[in-house]
Amino acid sequence: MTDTHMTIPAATTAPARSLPAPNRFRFWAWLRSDKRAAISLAYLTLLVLAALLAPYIAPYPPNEQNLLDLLMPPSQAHWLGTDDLGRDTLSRLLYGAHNALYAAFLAVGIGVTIGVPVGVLIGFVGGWVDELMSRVIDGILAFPPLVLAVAVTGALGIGLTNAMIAVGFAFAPVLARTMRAQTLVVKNALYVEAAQGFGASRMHLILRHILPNAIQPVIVEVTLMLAVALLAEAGLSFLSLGVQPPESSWGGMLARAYHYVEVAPAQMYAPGLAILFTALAFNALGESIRVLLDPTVKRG
Amino acid sequence: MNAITLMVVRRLGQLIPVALVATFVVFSLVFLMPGDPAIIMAGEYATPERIAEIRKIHGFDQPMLVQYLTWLWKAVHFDLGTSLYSSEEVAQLIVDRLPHTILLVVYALVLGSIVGIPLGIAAATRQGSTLDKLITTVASLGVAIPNFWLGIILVTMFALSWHVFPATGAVSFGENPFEAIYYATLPAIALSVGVVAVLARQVRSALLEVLGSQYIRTLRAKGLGSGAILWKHGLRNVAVTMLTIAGLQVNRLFSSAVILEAVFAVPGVGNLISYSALNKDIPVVQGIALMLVVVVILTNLLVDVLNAILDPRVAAST
Amino acid sequence: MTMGSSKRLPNITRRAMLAGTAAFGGSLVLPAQARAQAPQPTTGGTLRVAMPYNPAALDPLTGRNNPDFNTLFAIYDALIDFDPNTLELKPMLAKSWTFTDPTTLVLELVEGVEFHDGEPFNAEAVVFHLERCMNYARSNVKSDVASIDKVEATGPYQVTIRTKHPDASLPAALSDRPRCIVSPKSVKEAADGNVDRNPVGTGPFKFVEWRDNDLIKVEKNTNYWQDGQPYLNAIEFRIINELNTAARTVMAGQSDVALNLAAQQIAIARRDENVVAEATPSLIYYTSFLNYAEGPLSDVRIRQAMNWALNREDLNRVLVLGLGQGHCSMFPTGFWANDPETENYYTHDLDRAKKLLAEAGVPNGVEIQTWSWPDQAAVQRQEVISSQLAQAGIRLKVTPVPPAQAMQNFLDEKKGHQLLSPTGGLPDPSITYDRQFSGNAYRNAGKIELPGFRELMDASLSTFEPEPRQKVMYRMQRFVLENALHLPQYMSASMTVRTPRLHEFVFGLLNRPKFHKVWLEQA
Repeated sequence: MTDTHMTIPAATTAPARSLPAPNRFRFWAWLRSDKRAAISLAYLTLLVLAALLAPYIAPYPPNEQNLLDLLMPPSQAHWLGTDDLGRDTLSRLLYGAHNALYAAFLAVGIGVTIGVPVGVLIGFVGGWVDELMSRVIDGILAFPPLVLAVAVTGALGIGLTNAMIAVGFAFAPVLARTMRAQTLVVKNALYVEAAQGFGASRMHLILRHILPNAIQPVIVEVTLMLAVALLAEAGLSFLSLGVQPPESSWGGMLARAYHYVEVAPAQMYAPGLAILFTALAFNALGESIRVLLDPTVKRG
Repeated sequence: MNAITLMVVRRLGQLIPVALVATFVVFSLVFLMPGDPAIIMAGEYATPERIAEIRKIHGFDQPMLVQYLTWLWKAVHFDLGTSLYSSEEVAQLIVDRLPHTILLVVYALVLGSIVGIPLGIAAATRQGSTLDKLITTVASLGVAIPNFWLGIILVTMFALSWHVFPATGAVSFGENPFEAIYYATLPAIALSVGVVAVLARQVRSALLEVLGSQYIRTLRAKGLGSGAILWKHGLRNVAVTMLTIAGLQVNRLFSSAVILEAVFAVPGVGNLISYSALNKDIPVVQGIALMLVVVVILTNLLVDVLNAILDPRVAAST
Repeated sequence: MTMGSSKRLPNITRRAMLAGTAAFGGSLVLPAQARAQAPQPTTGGTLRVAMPYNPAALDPLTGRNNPDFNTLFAIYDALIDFDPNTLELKPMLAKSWTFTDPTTLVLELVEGVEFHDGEPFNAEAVVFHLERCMNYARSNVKSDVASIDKVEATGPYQVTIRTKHPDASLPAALSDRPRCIVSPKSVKEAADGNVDRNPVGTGPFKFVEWRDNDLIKVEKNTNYWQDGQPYLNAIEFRIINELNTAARTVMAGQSDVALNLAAQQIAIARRDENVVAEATPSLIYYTSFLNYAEGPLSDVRIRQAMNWALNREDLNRVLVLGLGQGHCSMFPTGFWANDPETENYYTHDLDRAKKLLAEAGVPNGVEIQTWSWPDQAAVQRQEVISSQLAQAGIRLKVTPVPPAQAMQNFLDEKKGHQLLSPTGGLPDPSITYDRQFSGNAYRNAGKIELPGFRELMDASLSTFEPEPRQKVMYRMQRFVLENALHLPQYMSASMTVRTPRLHEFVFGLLNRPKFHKVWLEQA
């Protein structure tokens, strides 16, 4: 889940660079020069459109059961076939996109909301607060995140929003740790020491100097986390802990398809591919942003 | 005391606070969960009186901190308690279940290394070639693919269509190692794709970095063959990266195992903990939490020790 | 997908019913005649059973789930036995049982039986056992013996039970968990009297070992009191938690029989000619417990509307692939307490449902807060039922929670209006009605009894003769349906997959197998 391999060596060791100024950053030129980013963004845009327009473009209502046409193979009437209750798979896939995106952004949002302030604070304050909180972070990180998510989901009640709060909760220590490291780097940089010398308030320091400089690696991490959150949603829904029926989710569709895998094996391909492509797009976009923000990192 | 011993002692000292935090967090979460174990314990057709009686017998009515400290006191004395539902000793339960999970994780790490490292080396030594691009693409896919979906596909192909491997189930390693490995193959493959992807990528970039360094360029200028350089200097430096990554992957693999054990009906700890968490079997959840924390921390420690042996400078800095 | 075997059992004689039961399993079950010509029992062999649940305990008193019974009858003999297909009571360790008056039951015991630990079986042992059922702190069967006032040994092999009130269901209750007689010596020697993991009975097999979630092994009791039995040398119960995996072990030849399966496994196994997949009538049924004391469901018309809105044929066809029975009774067709005239009291009639809702003052429908379980099968069930009820304007607002939590929320805290759940599987219909609808029943969320219920309940307990008792049960069935006290959905089936070499194996109405006469044809 939390891809702990996502270390950002360049940023943690080198002094932080500021974001390219908005007026100098040419979006279209970037897309032209980075085909991977262009394709990912195009796919994600289409996905967002599909999620928003599902009520208009889906061929059937997603929950309309037809108990006489169960587990049908793809046909003219149902391009991707029907599920175990005779519902149109394509329509459920389109509606599922909405839940998938909502889940991914919610989880990452929660992770950022908890993780970033905590990371900055403990990095900035240091001392025993840092020592204590770092142990807490280690404690949570030592626990496999999905297991943690299962426990949190149990505590909060089964459902998509709660499941994603759980995943966000598991993201938070990762982000806090990154932010802490970044804050330490920036804090020790000369200009902050200089600002401190001028008697700038702590809040001012955090908001004006530390946060903007430390946030860069977090942007990359967050984009990559969207993929992780998407996969986590699919996994938790597969375990029936995420999206609740009759609403559709890709993970839930896979779980049902697996139930009938010996009868209708074709049902499991479409939702799996949807998860794969979307996770791929988030990852690719994250890598591209990393290259964009830090030109010393080589592509690939 | 040399640097490595010092590091080991210091890290083992950290184990205690980390384990305390982790078990307390998990205990609070599970404790806060609604649901009353007494209802399950009383049986299918229980009377309300019987349920109340069970609540009292097991002290479910005591405050949370009291219950946690009771658990902790016993745990310190190597008593993890018994499962609320099966009356089985938690320690025994873990001893029975853990080998299944460890087999999967180790098997996946081995498979991942066997495939991932050569791929990374191949990509690095032929940087920019079609092969390199292909390997990079495969690695991207490996990170993005849902393990459990891959698991289902493997079941459909290798078990249900071609009958090469059993679809689901597991055999205990102690009972029959060969059968155990045979049964674990499909889930281990599904679990290993992430390892393959991460290793291939990281080995590639680590190698590229080393091969591009001043030091190697000097060696090359001295007339050393590129094969010899790769083996003698590139790979040793890469080994450090690989070990670190393998250590970090353990935690992730345990996570993925939770779902894969469900797909493949493996009676491992992943299966056990999700079931126990949802049914509020606190002693079992706590026991597994403690065990996982210890396993993950010890794995990372082992990795660091190996790293320190490979590169003594590391020991001083951790 | 449909299996085409939802054949109804004719409700005539018991003989016909037995034949019908055999036919129910489909063409693969040998008809009674062919079975007569089947090879004679051979002795020996180890039976390998795959079952999905690790028992909670092997002490019949502290166990709690029906699947525990997969192993119990191998180790323990019963005071009173039952026919697996009709539940007709049969003598076993009690040669006879007689009500000498409405509150006195006299049991005559067989002589010359020994427990596995060498202790003699006699009236003392039975008294000790029944008192343990009533008084042991960890006993989960107190409610089964709640009507017992006093148990006495009135002779070396005669036990007299006095009840607080007439209880015609007591012999049947004594054929439930309390039937399994535990060796008094084993209890006295155990720490705290805990014999959860050290079962000693008089049964055809002796306990050897239990590795949790893996294996339970029993071996032949060579000193068994019934001549020639058992035929098997040993039984290995393999615990395989996942149903597909369990069924596959039979198809792969690693197990001889898999128990407690679901419809998917039967459908798949029926494609394999080397195994026998059986789905026979079961007393387990799927329903919704309703809180009819408060909220919208206190209006009988809304409860009736829900019952008219269900299409039970479809539920049976889609949810159990047609292997169960799609009617609104709590018992399978052909069971003695099931009134065939009212088993289809409710049919699928949306107009009627809407009319009732209009009469109840909610012409635009009503929202029902519903608890359900989160597993895939429960989710599927809930989706179909929600969709069917929605067509009549009854909208379910479903919250999925694990079973224990669902029961706590609905039954203890009285939140929500209904709880979807399987239930049933009890040996006597009086007990079945009592545990669901009596005012003090845990499963009765509203804790009220509608007028007329208590009279029928008392009548069912104080009527001892079979035919009048059947009449009472018919009236009770009608009462429950007319008042729509719950939302019955469909009858489940007892589902197993086995090798054709396995003979005399019956899973039965209660899913409680006996292994005395089971034998394996040598390969």
